[in-house]
Amino acid sequence: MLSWVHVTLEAIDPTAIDRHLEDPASGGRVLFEGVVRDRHHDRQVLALEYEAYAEMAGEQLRAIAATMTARWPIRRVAIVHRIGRLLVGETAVVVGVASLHRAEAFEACRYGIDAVKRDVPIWKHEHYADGTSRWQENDC
Amino acid sequence: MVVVRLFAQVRELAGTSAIQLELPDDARAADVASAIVERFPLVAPLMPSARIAINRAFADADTPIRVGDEVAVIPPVSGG
Repeated sequence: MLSWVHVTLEAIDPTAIDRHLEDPASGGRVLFEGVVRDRHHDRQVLALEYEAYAEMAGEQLRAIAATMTARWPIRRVAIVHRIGRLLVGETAVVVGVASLHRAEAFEACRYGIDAVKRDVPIWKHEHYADGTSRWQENDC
Repeated sequence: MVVVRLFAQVRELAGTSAIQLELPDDARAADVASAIVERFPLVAPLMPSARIAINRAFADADTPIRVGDEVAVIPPVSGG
């Protein structure tokens, strides 16, 4: 089982992650890409900063990847979360799965991104156009 | 003595990213939360929704804490 799982300060290249998932035996790949939105409710977002408890975040991501591979017959998994300052439109997270058939790829990918949003110690601090800022909480 | 790491809004309100706590020998995760509230009253409203991590894993309220453990307060996360 090949996996590529980490927290990074660098910009994420989804194409590189997709290439990493390539596998002749897999009939499909599902790749979820989370990007920075330009609005939070009615407020205009300029940028955001992700803070992480990096050591634990890395371990949680690896545990999530391990659960995905234990629960579904998938052949490749990638989970990459960026931290630091991100601008609107930039990629914050990618969860990718390759498997023989599509059903398990969709299910495992959905589980993966939901688990990331629930159990990985990463926090988003949003900066708005009106000069204010706010720590967000995921609704999960 | 244990070092407790603080993150995000808890870190900002406490004004520090780590504190040292003197805890009794039979201390449990819930005692960390109470000690934090005692030391930083401003953080009190956040603690009911925060989780405690011990050695990089989420702990239950009654999980014991031992000298040298890596302890952290994890306010509601917002990754993804």
